[in-house]
Amino acid sequence: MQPIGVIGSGNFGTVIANLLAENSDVLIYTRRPEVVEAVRETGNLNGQKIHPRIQATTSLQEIAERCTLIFPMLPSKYFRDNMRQIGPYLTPAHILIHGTKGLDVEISSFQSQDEHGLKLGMHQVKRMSQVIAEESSVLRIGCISGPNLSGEISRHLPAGTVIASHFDEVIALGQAALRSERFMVFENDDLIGVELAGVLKNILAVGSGMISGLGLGENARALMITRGWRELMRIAELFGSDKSALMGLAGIGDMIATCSSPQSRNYSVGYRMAKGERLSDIIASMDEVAEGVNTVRTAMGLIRYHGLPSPLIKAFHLVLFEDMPILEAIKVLISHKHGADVDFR
Amino acid sequence: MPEAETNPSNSEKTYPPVLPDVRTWPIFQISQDREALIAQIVQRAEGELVTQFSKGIGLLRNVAEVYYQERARLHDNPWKVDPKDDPAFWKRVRNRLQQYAQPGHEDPAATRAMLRDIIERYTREIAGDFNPATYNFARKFINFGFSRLFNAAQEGLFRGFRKQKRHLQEKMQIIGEVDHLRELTKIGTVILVPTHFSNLDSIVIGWAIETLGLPAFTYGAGINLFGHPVLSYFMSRLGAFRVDRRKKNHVYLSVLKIYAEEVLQRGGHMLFFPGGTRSRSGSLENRVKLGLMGTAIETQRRHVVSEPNNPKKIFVVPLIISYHSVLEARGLIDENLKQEGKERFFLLQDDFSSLRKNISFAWKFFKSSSEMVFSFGAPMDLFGNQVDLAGKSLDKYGNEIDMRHYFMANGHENNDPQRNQEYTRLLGQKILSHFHTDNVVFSSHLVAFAAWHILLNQKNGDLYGLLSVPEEDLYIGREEMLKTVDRLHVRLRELERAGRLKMAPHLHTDIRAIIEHGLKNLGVYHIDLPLLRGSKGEILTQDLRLLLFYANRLQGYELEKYV
Repeated sequence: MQPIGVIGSGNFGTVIANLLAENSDVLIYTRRPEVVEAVRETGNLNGQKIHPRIQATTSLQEIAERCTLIFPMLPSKYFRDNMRQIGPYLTPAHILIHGTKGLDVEISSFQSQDEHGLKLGMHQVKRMSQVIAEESSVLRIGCISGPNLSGEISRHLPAGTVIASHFDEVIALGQAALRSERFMVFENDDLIGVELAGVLKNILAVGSGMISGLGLGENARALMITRGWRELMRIAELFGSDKSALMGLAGIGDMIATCSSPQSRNYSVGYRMAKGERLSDIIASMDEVAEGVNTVRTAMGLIRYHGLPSPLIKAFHLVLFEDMPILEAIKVLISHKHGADVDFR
Repeated sequence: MPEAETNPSNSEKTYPPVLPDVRTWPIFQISQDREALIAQIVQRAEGELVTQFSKGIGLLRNVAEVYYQERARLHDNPWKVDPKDDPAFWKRVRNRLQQYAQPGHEDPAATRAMLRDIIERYTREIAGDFNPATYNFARKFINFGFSRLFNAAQEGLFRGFRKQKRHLQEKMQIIGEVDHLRELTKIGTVILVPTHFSNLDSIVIGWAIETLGLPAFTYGAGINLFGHPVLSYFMSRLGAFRVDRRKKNHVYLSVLKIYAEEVLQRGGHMLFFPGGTRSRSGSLENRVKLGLMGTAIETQRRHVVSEPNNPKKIFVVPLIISYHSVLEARGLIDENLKQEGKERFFLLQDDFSSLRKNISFAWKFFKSSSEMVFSFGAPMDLFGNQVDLAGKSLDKYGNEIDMRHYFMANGHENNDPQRNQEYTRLLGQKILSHFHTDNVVFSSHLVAFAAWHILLNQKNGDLYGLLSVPEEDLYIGREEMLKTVDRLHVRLRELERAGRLKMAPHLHTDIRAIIEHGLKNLGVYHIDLPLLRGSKGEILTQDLRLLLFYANRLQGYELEKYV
C-alpha cells in the first residue's frame, strides 16, 4: 500500500493527515527538520497527537515518488513555490487534492503596486487548482473545502466537508481516503465554485470579527453578511462559477462557521482591528496566515478592473489597507444609494 | 522577440513534400482497405449499439426511434443530395418493424440484422475515398488556379507563373512551427484544428497543406457540399467524409464517431473545426464542440494499451487564420444577434449553395488587396503538453511524459470514460487558449474594435440601443479615433510581449498609417462598408452590424477598458 501524501504541516495539514491516517499510511511534508524529529520523538505536531501511521519528511521528491494521491495543505502565499519545487517529480499519474482557501496573484512588473489603484485582470488571479496545472503535468485535481475549524476536528467533534473535482475518480478516491465516523464528505463537480466559496467567504469573516469587536450587534452582522454575499457572487461569476456551490457546505456552511467563531483567524483579525490594534502588528503576532486579508486585496483589484459594484469590499479595503477608521468606513457605506434587496435569480 | 517571430514569415520558403509518394500516405492506405474499414466499423458499431440498446427500452424500440427520426427528415427536410432509394430503404425498415412488433413475431436476430443494415448504410454514406490521381490533379489545379485568380483579379492575366506564385505567397502568409508540423506527420497522427470564420476556410487550408508539402488530411464535410457534381467528384476523392447535420439519431452519431476513431487509429491525419460551425459573432471560438475530439483521447488510450512501451501518438496543431474580410459576415452576425436577442431561430441562408457563388466569392476575395495569415500554433499532445521534434511529450521542466500515466489510477491502468470526457474538455480549453495566443491581429481588427467600442460608449454600453440608431447619425472624431487606437496599440504590444497574442507586421508602424491601413482593408467587399472616412477626416459607418462582427475578433483580451 502506498502512503497518502500531505504537503504542509500547519494546523489544517495536521488535521487532514490524522483523518487520512485512519484509513491509510500517511507521509507528511514539512520544510522544518525539527518537525520531523518532533513527530518521531514525541508523536505530537502543533499540539495535536499524531496518528502512529503518519511519517514526516523534508523531501518533496520523496512525497512525489512514494505517493500518487497527495493533499497540498499550504497557505496560498507559498503554494506556487512549493508546486514549482515538487513539479518536476510529479507525473500525470498523480492526483492532487488541495485544501487552500486563497488565491494566487501575479502582479506584472509594469503594473503599479500602489494599494490604491491596483487593478487585476483575470489572467493575473489564479485558483490553486490552476496553479497546480500550471506548475506540473497533473490534470486530475480536486479540492476540499468546508466548515472545518482545525481545533474542533482535532477534538474529534463531528464535521463535514466538500470534495470537488471535475473528475469522478478524484472525488471517489478523496472520499474513500477521508472516510471517517466523525467526518462527512460531500461531493461537488463544480471545482471552481467550491474553491471560490472557501476563498471568498473569508472576506466576510474579517468583517464579522470587526462587528463583534465594535459590539455593533447581530442586526449589523446579518446585514453585512447578506449584502456581502451578493458581492461575493459577482466575483465568483467572473471566474465562471455557476454560483450554486456558494449555497452549499463550502459556501454558506463555511461562512456560518467562520463568521461566528473567534477560533477563525480571519474573524480574529477583524476583531482585533476593531479593538484598535494595527493590521501589521496582528499579522506579525499570528503563527498562521489569515487568508481573508489578502483576499480582500485581490478582490479589490478584480473589482477595480471589472468595475463591479462592491461597496462592502471597498469599505473593508479602506479599513485594512488605507487606514480608514472602521466607523468612518461604515458612514461611507451607509451614505451609498441602496437599491433592490434581491437582484438575482 | 515575438516581432522577429512574426515578421519573417515562411512565405519565401518552399517545402518539398514530406512523403513524395502519395501511395505511402496513411489516407491512401486507408482507402485501399476501404471495404475492410467499413466491415470493421459495422462490426464495432453493431456490437456497441446492441449492448447499449439491450438496456432500457430495448433493441426494437431503439431502431423504431431511428426510423421515426429518419421519416421526419425525409418528410420535413429533403435535400437534392439524398440518395434516390432513401424512401424505399426506410419503407422496408418500417415494414420489418411492424412485422417484428406483432406479438408472437418477435425476432431478435432479424431485428439485429436490420440494425446492421442501417449501420452499413450510414457507414457507406459517411466513408470517404481517396484517389491519388484526383488528388494530384486537384493540387495542381488549386495552386495554379489560385495564382491565376489572384493575379488576374489584381493586375490582369499576363504575368509569369513563377512570379504569380511568389505574389500569392506574399498575400497568403504562413507563420509558426511548420517544420515541426512536417516532422510530426511522419512520426504520428496529426489533428489540425483551425478557427472557422468562412466557407472559404477549407479551400484555403487545402492550399496551405499543399504548400507545406504535407500529406492529405481527412475532414468531415457537410453532405450538402456533395450535391454539386464537380465539387462532389473532388471532395469524395480527396479523402473528405460526409457529415449530415440533419441526422441526429444515436445510431448515426455512433457510426460517425467510430468512423473517426478507426481513421485515427489507422494513422489518418484529420482536420477538425473545433468550433463546429463558422463563428457567428466574428469572435474567436469561445467554446468548442468536442464530439469527434473525444475519439482522439480514446484512440490514444488504445494505442497505449496495445503498445505500452512505445505507443503511437496523436498530436494537435491549432491553426488560426486571419482575414481582413469575411464575405458571409453580414449573414453570420445577423444570426448571432437573433440568437442573442432570443428571437426566433431561423436557418442561415447559405452563401455557398452554388458553385457560381463560390467562384464569385473567390474572385471578390482575390480582387480586393486583402492579405491572409495562417498561424500554425506549436504542436502539442492531446493533453496540451509541448512535444519535441521526435514527438516526445515534455512537461514544463523538460521531463518526458509517459502517456500511460494519463490512464492509470492507483498505479494500474484502467478505462474510465468520464475521465476521458474530462480530458477532452481540458483539451478544448487548451485549443481555445492557443487560438488567442497564436492569433495574428490585423489593422482592420484594431480599427473595428476601436470604432465599435467608441460608438458603444457613446450609448453607455447599450448594444441594442446602439444598433437601433441610424448609421447616418453616428460618427467618430479624427482625434478620438487616433487616441483610442493609440491606447489599444500600446496594450496590444504589451500583450504581444507577454506572449498572449501576435501582431501582423503591418501593425508595427505609426498609428496614422495603421488606421489608414485598417480602413483600407476592413471588410472591403461589402456593399455597405463597416468603416470609412468622411469628408472632414471623421470616421463613419454604413453598417453597424458588420462593424460589430469585425470588432468581435478582438474579444477575449480584456481590451474594452482601454477604449
